[in-house]
Amino acid sequence: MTLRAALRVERGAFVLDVDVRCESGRTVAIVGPNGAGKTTLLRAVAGLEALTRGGVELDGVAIDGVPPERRRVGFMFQDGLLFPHLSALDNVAFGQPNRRRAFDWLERVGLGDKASARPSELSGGEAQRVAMARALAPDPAILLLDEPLAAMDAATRNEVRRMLKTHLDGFAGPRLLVTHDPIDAAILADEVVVLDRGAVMQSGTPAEITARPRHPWVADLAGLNLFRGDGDGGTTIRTSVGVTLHAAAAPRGAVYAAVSPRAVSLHLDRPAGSARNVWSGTVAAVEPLGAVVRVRIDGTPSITGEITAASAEELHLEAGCAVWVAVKATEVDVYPA
Amino acid sequence: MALFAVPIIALAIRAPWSNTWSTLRTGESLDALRLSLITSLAATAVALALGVPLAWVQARVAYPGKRVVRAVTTLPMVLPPVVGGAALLLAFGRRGVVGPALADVGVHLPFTTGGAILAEAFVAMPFLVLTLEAAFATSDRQLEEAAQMLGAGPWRVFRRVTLPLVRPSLVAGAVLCWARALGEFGATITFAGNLQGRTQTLPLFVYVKLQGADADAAVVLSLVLVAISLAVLIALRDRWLTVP
Repeated sequence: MTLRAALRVERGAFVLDVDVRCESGRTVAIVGPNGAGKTTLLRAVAGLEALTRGGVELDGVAIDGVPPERRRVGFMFQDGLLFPHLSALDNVAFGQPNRRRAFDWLERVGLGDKASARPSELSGGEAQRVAMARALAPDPAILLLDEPLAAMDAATRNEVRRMLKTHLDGFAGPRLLVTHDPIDAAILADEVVVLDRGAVMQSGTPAEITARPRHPWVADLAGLNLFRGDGDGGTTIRTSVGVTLHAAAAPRGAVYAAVSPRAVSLHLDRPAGSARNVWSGTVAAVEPLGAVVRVRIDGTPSITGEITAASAEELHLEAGCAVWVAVKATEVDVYPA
Repeated sequence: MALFAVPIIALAIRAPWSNTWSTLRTGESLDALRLSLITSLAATAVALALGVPLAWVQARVAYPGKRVVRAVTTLPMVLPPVVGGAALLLAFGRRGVVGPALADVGVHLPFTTGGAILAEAFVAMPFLVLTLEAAFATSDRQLEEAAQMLGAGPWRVFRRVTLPLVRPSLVAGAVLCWARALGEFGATITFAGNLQGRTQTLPLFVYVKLQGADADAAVVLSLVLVAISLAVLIALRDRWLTVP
């Protein structure tokens, strides 16, 4: 079964215009900054948002004319959204009138003993597990998950994520997962679609996306420095900020250049080594992260480096210091834009 | 404070405590009491049947002329009840606008128990509608969407999710409405008259007895009404009397 959402939703100044596919048995993570239109996309697939154009197809059959309650969509909402006036079991049984089966679902998420508890008596993690059981119990054709792990502390998050992984793997149909957490995407998704301002910026496997980002937001998540520029077909790139970067190879035309923070070395004096890319800048911020220190440098271009705590100590780095930046040409990964 | 307390205390002082029971048990008193209960409960039922859908539409549906509808349906709250009764008479009376048409199909409202119920519902319904409309407007729409995603059609969503979520307001609104219907005087006496056992409700009975020689009966039944009012206040104290 294939879900295809090729649609356009216009709401005031906001426009969502995407073409997203998801095969049965696969999870597509929709990621992107706030206001990118991630939730709007899920709501459009569910039928809760009116389409301006386009449609939603399941195996080539249009379902956008079907009322939401008959689309057989399992929807997990951000904050669980359990019915406060119903017990955990009644919540699950809302869409699965067979109470025996509803109870089985409650047991499958490990909450058989909380059947009669009201949502207000459940912890955040428990409530989200009930919400998971409730979404799956009616045996939906499609599963839509809107930030199912967002409103949780770290420990609960891990536990619920594990359970979610189990149940996603056991769900036969296509599933779309909205998340802003790269870990969720990496663990739960087979494919990632990056959305920004209502349009798809990039899509691919989590590994592809994080290795070769095509959007500053993704680069930030992946912890990479991302530059845009023009390759000359040899080894140099003219970046959009006007400086030249040297790489091992640079295809001709518009390119992205990614540099890992770990490939950035910092010096107090102009380094005499073999690094081809050398420039000076000012330390903008120093953030210790355990054994390493993350240093943001303002310059042309600005860049973020990660050095060991020991070398940071040695260099006496603090905001406002003048430093030299060096990056080897072989550490600049260039790919077509 | 004294302005409010003294009249109530006066009622208690004047009460014929020794023969309260026998005063209550006269045929006339019982008739009024029974009729008041029937008409006020029936008026509340009418208000619920008409008011719940009205409140929902007002809170959830955007349509032209909504403000006009709100003004018209709230008017009985501020209208002098006697004027309300007169208006009802001009509409449903023997020579009213729609009265003759109703009479043709066998429905006679003026000076009948049905008329008393209508008069009470007319005056009391806005209390239910306003309370419920506010609740419908502020209740969580996302929960209704969650229900929809679980396969529930509009009617099931309303019955299983929307209505239970506004239940406290529904109860409060219904109680307020009932209390107002129970105390209705002006519209009832104007539209339905003052016939013992048919349209003479408690307030009418109190008024008549006070005018006549039987002040004792008036006082005792007034106290019954005071007791009911107090009970309503106590029942709804969490809504009004607690300072957040």
